[in-house]
This record gives sequence, structure tokens and C-alpha cells, in this order.
Amino acid sequence: MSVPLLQINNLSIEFNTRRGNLVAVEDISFEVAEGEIFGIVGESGAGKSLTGKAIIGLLEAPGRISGGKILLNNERIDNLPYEQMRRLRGKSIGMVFQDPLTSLNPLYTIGRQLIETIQTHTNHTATQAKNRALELLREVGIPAAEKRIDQFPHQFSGGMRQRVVIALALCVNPKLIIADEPTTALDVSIQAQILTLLKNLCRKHGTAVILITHDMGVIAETANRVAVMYAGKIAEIGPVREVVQNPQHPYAQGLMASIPVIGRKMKYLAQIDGSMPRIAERPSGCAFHPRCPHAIELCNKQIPELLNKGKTKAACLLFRNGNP
Amino acid sequence: MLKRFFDSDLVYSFTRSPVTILAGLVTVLYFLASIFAGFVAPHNPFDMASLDIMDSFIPPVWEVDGDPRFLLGTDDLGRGILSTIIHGSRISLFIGFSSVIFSLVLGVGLGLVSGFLGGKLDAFIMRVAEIQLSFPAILIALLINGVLRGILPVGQQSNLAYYVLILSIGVSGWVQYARTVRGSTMVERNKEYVQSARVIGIHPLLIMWRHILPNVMGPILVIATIHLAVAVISEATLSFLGVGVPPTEPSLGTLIRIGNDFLFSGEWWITIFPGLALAILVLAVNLLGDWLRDVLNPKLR
Amino acid sequence: MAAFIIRRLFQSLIVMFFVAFVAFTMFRYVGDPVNQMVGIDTSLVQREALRERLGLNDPFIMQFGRFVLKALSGDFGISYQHKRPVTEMLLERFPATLELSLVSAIFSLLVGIPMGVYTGLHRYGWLSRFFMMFSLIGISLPTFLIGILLIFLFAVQLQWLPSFGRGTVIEIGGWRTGFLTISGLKALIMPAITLGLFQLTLIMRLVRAEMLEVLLTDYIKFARARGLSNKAIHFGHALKNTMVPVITITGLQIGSILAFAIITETVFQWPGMGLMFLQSIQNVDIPIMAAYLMMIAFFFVLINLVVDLLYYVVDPRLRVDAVKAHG
Repeated sequence: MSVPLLQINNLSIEFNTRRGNLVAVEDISFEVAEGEIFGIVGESGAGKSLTGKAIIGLLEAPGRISGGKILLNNERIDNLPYEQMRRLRGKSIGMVFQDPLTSLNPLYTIGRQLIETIQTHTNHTATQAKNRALELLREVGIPAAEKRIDQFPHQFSGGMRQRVVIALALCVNPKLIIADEPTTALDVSIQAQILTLLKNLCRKHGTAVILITHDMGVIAETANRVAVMYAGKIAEIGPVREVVQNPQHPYAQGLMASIPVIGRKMKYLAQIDGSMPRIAERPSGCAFHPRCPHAIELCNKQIPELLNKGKTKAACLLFRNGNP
Repeated sequence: MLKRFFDSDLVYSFTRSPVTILAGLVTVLYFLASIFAGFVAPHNPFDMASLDIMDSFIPPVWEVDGDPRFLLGTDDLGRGILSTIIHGSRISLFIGFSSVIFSLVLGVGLGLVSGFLGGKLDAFIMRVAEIQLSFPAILIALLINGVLRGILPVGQQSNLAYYVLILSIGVSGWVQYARTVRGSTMVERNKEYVQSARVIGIHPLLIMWRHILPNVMGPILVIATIHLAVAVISEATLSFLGVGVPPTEPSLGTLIRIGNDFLFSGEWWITIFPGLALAILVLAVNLLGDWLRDVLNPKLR
Repeated sequence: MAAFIIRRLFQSLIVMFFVAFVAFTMFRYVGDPVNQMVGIDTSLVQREALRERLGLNDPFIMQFGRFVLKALSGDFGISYQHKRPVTEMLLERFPATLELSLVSAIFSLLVGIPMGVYTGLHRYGWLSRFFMMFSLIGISLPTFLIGILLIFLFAVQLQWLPSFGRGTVIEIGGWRTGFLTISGLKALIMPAITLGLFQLTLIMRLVRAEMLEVLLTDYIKFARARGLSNKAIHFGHALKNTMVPVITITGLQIGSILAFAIITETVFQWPGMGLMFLQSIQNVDIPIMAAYLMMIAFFFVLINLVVDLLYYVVDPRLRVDAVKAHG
């Protein structure tokens, strides 16, 4: 088997604050293969965005990587000097942010922002870069690209702006794109368009995507594999179909049960009681145990590891001896 | 309550910043020295009878002709510089403080009325505020000062100098208070409890004030602290320009003005020491204001 | 765009009208203009005749209208003290103040903006801390004290620079300039620094605060995520976005430089309008006070208009939404 595009090994992220070190992401590992769409799903505060920022090397102080490795094409990138990491950003790893309204510099035309990015990473002349920019705008489905290229961001609608953002992320054909809640800020009717666009473009160029979202529906429609994060750890990881249809971890089960299914009559929408603990208040043992319907005594003492269970891996003590 | 206060970010950041502690100490020192000026100062510079013209122009102690009675030397009338500085700070602080209170009361009042009543009055007040804000405070203060002195009879001018100053500086500084309070008032105005207050017969303005107060306390404290520094500078500037406190009972600004005439003849201490005293006072208050703003305004952190 | 400019012009007119009103009220009701013009031995009858001739018995509105009309034609009356036309006196002293203000404004911008950018980018560097400390001292030292300290150091102790006046001036077409002689330029150094220092620290702190704020925005994060160089991000994307507020404040600052010139001109005995204004306050010479107020207000309004126009150059959003946003 060939080497995966991206490997995350035992990554931990800490915040050093005046009240001590807070561990926001703890000892997580996963791999992303070339061309794959890998979903990370979880509630806000679960650590999914931090993981994305750590991969592209944009964690903000006081957050920092406190352990583990990140490997891209089998080379470590978590400890690169700033200038080398900068060259990777955009060229090997692209990123799409949540809010297209604020992701673009309001004072520059979108053409200028595209050309600037292209020329940063290639030796294109101004004309070549402009042609490439036009090509990209057409590719992401912006009509009348020749006219639009000289316009400013505020002259675009939200959905159109997100298309521009995607074009910017894809500028120089990176191998991996991290999409952090790419559709959350958009109208529901536009969300599907943007997701389809992202999916098709990545398939066409063989780009892998890490899709970070709190919306399990988005993952179910788009991703190949998924990691469910809870309180800084991966609760369950596996092929999307398995995790959605046959979740193993009690948290994942609760999450899937709470997705409404069109056509099936339900009296109440299922929910998980309680809420995810804040970083500083995480319980001992398995962080989910206070809310877990299957919790046993051991759960508040021992931190569970990811174990094979069926076709997925789940971090739950219930599976420690291969049962139930 | 007290425990919460000591655990708060305010106290934490205070104890963590040596510069702020120092600034706090210096400010307290100035206040104490001003309040107890009569006890702290080695001489009473306003007692003309005790002055001896033979004592004039004595340099500071460490210079060749220094006199141990006058640590920082004397001025042209034989007044000890240290004593005039202590008494001068008292006057400067008094006028600065009174001006701040004046601005605060005026600004908070206008802001409350403006935000509560809205409409034409609000538009008018805010228009005036805008126009005033586009001119530097010192220019406004100078104008008011000039007008007041034009209205007052000549003989009364130096007796009323304090009030003229407080009024000129006070009126030139109300805008920021008014804007802050107005904003808060407008947020609260349409809330339901205000409507219900009418029903039970309490004036809505009264009940709103209770709700607005906690919201505006922080910003107003910050504005007032920084304003104190500005007011002290304004007083000193007006006095230096010769339209402030008369030389018989000089403030820091007046002292600098007096000393400035002797700068070229080599008696530098008459102007430099009051100048330093003024600069240190303003710097300390500014540091406190900066710190308060950083702590009370998390957005800027 | 045209609608926006017309609206701003209209607002400026209101401001000017308001200031004129204040100036007129001052002019008319502070002290008695007649008393100021005649000697003690003038009889009551003569005074009343003069009063009638000057129109001081006319209704308020008429007097105000006349004041505005005269002001529009550049007539602000006769100085009580100097017995000369105020406009003539102001014009005579205008070049001195303008040259001083211009040089100190350029000085504060050229030094203040780079210092602000630097402290914004290197927030915790030792040089930044030094700059911040320096700026606090700059704000805490009153303008006149800075002037005195400079005089003490460079004029009294070192004797490098003159302590007062403009040096030798050359007259070109009625404009007396100090730019063309060595002594004129030397005389300009200390006043310009004194006047510019406060503005410099304000501009530096403002640019720093804006820079810090802009650096936290999504588009800067996205620019980083695209791998743009720090140079492009900081001096292209970030700096340009800080410019809108900086232009606003700078415009206002240039206005206040004109006003702070009063203090600087007093310290350095600089023969400009500010010094004259101060003397007019000391002597309650109302016509000069009123005229100076009107003139300063005119400059402020003018600067504000220029600032508004500059927005259009910098911020493309305004070109489309301006009328809507201000409506």
C-alpha cells in the first residue's frame, strides 16, 4: 500500500493560559489518502477547526502543537520553519474558510487577489496569471468571468464569493484542501451547489479534502471517510457509510439518531442530553461518560483508546475485550 | 463580593504590571501631597510676609550656590520651588478634577436625555457634539475662556480665574461622556422593563439609569481617567498662555510660564522642575488610563 | 457620488452657519462694540449715533445677516486693539502658520505611520515597547513643555538653533516664506517638531491599533492560508485596510495642528495667526477671535470634504454604497 497523502500521528494541541495549560486536542491520529474526502464532524469546541489550522500551520498563539507529528507525503510539516511552511500553504495545502463575506480583502479586486496568489507560487507572467485566473473563475462557475475579474468582493453575492474563495484555494492545484465549515454561512439553497462544486473539482484534479463541519448531513453526502470528534478526541473513525448507518460509539450513535430522515415519521427529534464540556471542565476518564447512556464504572477512570469494532474504530471502553 | 474583586482581571492585571503599580503609586502620592500640601510643603509660598527677596534665584541644593533650606532652589520672589510645586499641583489637580466632574455630569446628563428623548433634541445635541468634537478641546477652552473674560468685569477676573478655567475645560470635554451614555440609553430605551416601569409609576429614566449604569461604568471610568490627564494639561496650557491661574497663587502651568522668562538667564530650575512635575503627573495618570482601558475593554486586548 | 458630495457640502454649510452664529453672538454680545471703538470722553448722544450708524439697534436677524454677508466678502471688521482691518492682519500672518503647520503635518505622518506599522507588526518586540513608551511620553508632555525643553536643550545649552522667530524670510508675491533661507529653515525645525510630536504619537497609536485589528480579520488569515509572503500581507492587504480610519484621523489632526499652532507659536514667538489669536484673547479683541474662529472652521470643513473624497479613492465599497449607507 502506498504512503497516504497526509498522516496525523498522536497530535495534541495546547493553550497556555494564565490558568494553566488547557489541552484542546489530545492525541489524535488519522490519515487522508490522495483524492479522498475526509470529514471531521463534531460540536463547536470539539477541536476540529484547531486540527485543521494545525495542519496548515496557522494555529494562533497561545495555541500550539504540544505533541505528535503531521506528515505530508511522508515528510514532517509540523516543525518546518515559517518561510518553508508559507511556501507549502496554498501550493500543497489550500484552505477554504467559513465565511466568504469576510474571507476576501474588500479593497482589492478578486482578479488581483487571484493573480497575486498564482504569482506567489508560480513563475507565471502577469498575462499568464490573468489567463489562469479567468480559467479558474470559469471553472468555479462564475458567469461573465472577464467582467467579474475586475470587480470587488462586495459586488458578489455570498455564494459567488464562496466560489471565488474556492478558486483561490485551488489556484495552483494543491494536493489537499482543508475546508472549514465551507457552507455554514451560506443559504441552504446555495450550500448544496457549493458542496457539489467542491466535490466535482476535487475529483477532477485529484485533490484530497478535509471537510470540517458540525453538519452530519453534509458529511454523509460528501465524504468518503469520517472522524467524529468529541471534547478534543476522536470518538469514532471509519467509512462514512458505516459510521452513518451503523455507528458504534455511543456519542456517534446519539449523533446519527438526531439526524431527521425525510419520509420517516418521528414524534420527537432525538437528542443527546446535556452539552459538551468546556475545555477546562472536561471530566476524567472518557470525556463522554457523564452523558453516555451505557456508561460503566470504569468510564470515569480510564481513557478509552480507539479499537476496531466492525468496519470502524471507536474509542469506547465497552469494546475493550472485543465485546459486547 | 470582595473576594470576587480580588480575583478579577482588574486586580490580576494590576499586580502583573509593575509600570501600572508605579503609576498608581505616583498618582496616589500626588493626590496625598496635594490634599495635605500645608503639612507636606517645607514652606508656605503664598505667605508673602515669610518671603525674603534675598532668597531669590537660589539654585538647587546640589549646585554650587545651593541652600539646604531650598531643595530645588527658589524663584524670583524667593519662593521655594519644591513648595510651589506641591501647592501648584494642588491647584492643578483641583481644577483638573473639578473640570472632569463638570464634564462628566454635563455629558452624562445630556447623553441620557438625548438617548432617552431622541427626536429633534437628540439630533441637535449630537450635531453640536459633532461640531465641537471636530475642533480640538484646547481651542474650545480658549474660546470659552476668552468669552467669559469678556463678560466678567475686569476686577473680578483673577478672583474667578478658577471657575473660568473649570467652566472652559469642563465644557470642552463633555462630548465623549454624552456619546457613551447615549448609546447605552438607546439600547435600553425600548426594552420591556422600561415600559413596565411606566405602569407602576416610576419615571422610566430613573429605572433605566439603574440598568445603564453598570454598562457605562467601565467606559466612563476610562474616559474620566484619561480626561483627567487632558484636563490637567489643558489647565497648564491655559495658564502657560497667560489666560489661566494668576501668578500670585500659581498652578504648575503658571509656574512654568513664570520660569520660562528666566530660562535664558541660566535659572533653568524655575521652569524645568515644575515642568517635570507636570509631565510625571500626567504620565502616571495616562498610564493608569491606558491600563484601565485595556482591562475594561477586552476587545482591544 | 454626486449626491453624496452635495449632501456633504450641505452639511458643511450647516456647520459653517452654526460657527458663524457662535462667532456673531460673541462679536455682538461679549463686551460692547461701541465702547471698544470710542474714547471715554465720547458723549452718550455720540455713542447712540454710532450705534445707529453701525446698525447695532437693528433686529438680531438683520445684524446676523449683515455679519454673514460681510464675512462672505472677507470683511470681519476692525480690530479693537490694533484699529486695523482684521482680514488684512490675518492674511499677513497666514503664511507663517501655514508653513509651520504643513511641515509639522508632513513630519508627523512620515514618522508616525512607519512607527505605527512597526509596533503593530512586532507587538512584543523591545523596539515596539520603546516606541509605545515614547508615544505615552509624547502624549503626556504638554506641547508648550516640549517646546520649552527643546529650547532649553538646543537653544540655551547647545546654542544650535534659534529660540524664537522665523529667521530671515523672503517675500514672493505677497507671500513671506521661510523655506528659502538657511536661517528660516533652522528656525522652523524646533517649532515643527514641537507641533508635530503630539500628532505623531496619535497617528502612531492609531495605525498600530488599526493594524492589530486588521491582522485579526478573516481575509488576512485567508491571505496567510494562501501562502502569500509577509511583505504582501502586511504592506499590501493590511496597511491598505488601515488607511480609511487613518485618513479620517489625519484629516482631523491637520485641523488640530492649525489650532495647536496657537501654543507653539506662543512658545517660539512665531509670528503667525495663532499668536495673534492668543493676544486677542488676552485683550478680549472680539473681532479677531470671531474671524479666527470662522477661518479655522472653514479649514476644518474643507479638510473634512477632502477626507471624504479620499475615501472614494481608497475604499471601493463606498463608490457603490455611499449614498445608501449614509441615507
